[in-house]
Amino acid sequence: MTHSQQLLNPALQAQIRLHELVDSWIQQQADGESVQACRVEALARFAVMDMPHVRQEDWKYTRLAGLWKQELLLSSSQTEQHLPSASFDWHALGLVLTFVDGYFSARDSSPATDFPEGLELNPLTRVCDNHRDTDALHALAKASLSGNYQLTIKRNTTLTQPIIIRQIGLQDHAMQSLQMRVNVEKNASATVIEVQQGSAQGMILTQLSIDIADNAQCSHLLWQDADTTAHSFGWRDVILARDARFMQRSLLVGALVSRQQLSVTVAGENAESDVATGVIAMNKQTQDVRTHTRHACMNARSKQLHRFAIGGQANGVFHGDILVEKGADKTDANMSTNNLLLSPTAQANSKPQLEIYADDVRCTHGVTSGNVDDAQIFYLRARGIPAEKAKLMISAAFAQAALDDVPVEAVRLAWQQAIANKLQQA
Amino acid sequence: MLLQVENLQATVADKTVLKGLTLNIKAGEVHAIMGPNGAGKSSFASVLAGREDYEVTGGSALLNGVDLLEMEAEARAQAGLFLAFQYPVEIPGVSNKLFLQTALNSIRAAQGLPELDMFEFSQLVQEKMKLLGMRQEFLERAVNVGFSGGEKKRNDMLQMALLEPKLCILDETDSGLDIDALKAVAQGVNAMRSSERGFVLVTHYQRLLEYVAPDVVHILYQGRIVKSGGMELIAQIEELGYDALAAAA
Repeated sequence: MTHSQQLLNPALQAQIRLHELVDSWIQQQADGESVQACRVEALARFAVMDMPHVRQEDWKYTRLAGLWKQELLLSSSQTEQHLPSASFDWHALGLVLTFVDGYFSARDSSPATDFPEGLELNPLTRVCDNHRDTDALHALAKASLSGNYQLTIKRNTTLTQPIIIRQIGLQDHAMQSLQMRVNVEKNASATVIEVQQGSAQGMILTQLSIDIADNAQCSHLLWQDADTTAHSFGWRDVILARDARFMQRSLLVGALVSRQQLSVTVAGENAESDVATGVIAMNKQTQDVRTHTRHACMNARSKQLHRFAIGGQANGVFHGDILVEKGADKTDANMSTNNLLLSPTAQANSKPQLEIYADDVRCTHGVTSGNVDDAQIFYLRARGIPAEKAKLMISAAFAQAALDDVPVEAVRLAWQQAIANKLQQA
Repeated sequence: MLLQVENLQATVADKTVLKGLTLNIKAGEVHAIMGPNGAGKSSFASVLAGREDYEVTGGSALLNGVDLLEMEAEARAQAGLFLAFQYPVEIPGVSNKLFLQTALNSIRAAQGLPELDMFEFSQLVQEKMKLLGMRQEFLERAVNVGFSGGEKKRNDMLQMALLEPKLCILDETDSGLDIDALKAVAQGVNAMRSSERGFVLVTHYQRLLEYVAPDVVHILYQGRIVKSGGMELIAQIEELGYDALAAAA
């Protein structure tokens, strides 16, 4: 580090370090010219963007000071290391695509011969997209992209098995970036499960887009269970066409700082988006959930429920906005956020927003924050249940209420257990 | 003696609610505590059960010779005390089944008994529900959420039947109940009357006592038991009212 860099603030120092890291990594990559060009362009954008900072409205409650101190590394190729045995047998549940430290691991994935008719997985040869970067980290995700795939569920195909996308960090300090595009064609139906694990002191960057065509359906389950020293940032975009259905259920328990952004565009009549999140934040974790729901068409519906159980000195951050465009009449949109504070030092910062330009719509939002109800605790204790256990039961039920209808039974049960385990750290 | 309460004094929010209450209950007895609004009936039940907003300022309460007042609320329940609530609490998201099984196993664990697994528990709870005329769906629903007043009280009776406490305190369990629900509560109590168990029926009305005949009736007035007797006391209350009876005592 030069003398002048020492004078810069930690975010700027990190920006310079990350730029150097990604720049030299790009030079080692042997991908095609267009892929490389896109990485270089994204890196150039990253270099001139402001790094996130608590002085910016969007980052007011989500501090990245820890990240700026992190020494990150980017693997230049696939690891030889074997995965530790998983507590959950994903291969028994569905088709597995595993990415280890950013690279697709054929060894830990279902063989292509297992793919049923109507399902295709193709590497993307271009990584550029026309979407603007939401922030510097988004540009960084594009510049450091190592896994980049498109999944297509062909017209009229109903997948009986879920597709499981695992992002695993084995190496400490490793940073990894994955982009997955899922196209669910007309009348098709699929369940996509996304799992994040490991990555001690590392960073997980995920871009996922799901395009749901006319009368198609997609259920998306997200299990963010990264190491509690990791940083995880996700950008997920969903577009719904006419009569399309999108269901998302997320359990966010891992990472030191996690920010998962979901942008849903309801672009077709009679489409429906149904999103629910269960968050458990403990110790010094920050769990940040951001949703943007855009209604661009008549007669469509969206609903959201976000439940944060926050203990220790943790921080639960929610920002959700609903935009109803001109002409999107008869829109029915609602968004509800509930915070349960399990300790006096836990924090919840929730900000819902509505922006409505259409007539005749039904839009609601609500935020509640509270502590575990003493009357409920006493009722359980009066039946012989110890106070700690009573508190655990009530707070687990609070978070689970958002995830009671997870459509994959094995995941629903695993999540129940994960919630209870996480709360026991309180 | 099953319950021995001696000169019990307590305050809540700096207000003195019990001013030297004395009461003895033998196993096998049913005692009714009657009194006007504000006499301290619910306070007495709350203090015995260990509600934390009450502060005991004097006196003692022993259950089978063990000091209740030194124990946490859950330890009192584990020692065999049961409070049927005036207003049973709703707990969204916690199924009745999980609640009942956890409660039963907590109490069994405290008594050094092995925990019941799902299968053993199911069998036991089915039996008890059948006796109380309750439907299976009751177990799957969240604790008291969306229950009618009568269903909530029935749920409390089911808990009582399952946990088999030594001393049951029913805190104005009969208030706001229709006649069918009242009969269900009475049936629950009568079915559990035994030579080893005692009951305290805290009530405002004599309605419940038409279905559960108490052995002893007490009048609680301004934080003290001022008069005790048999069923004849109920008729006197009807005739003279609490103030006059208390003044004569």
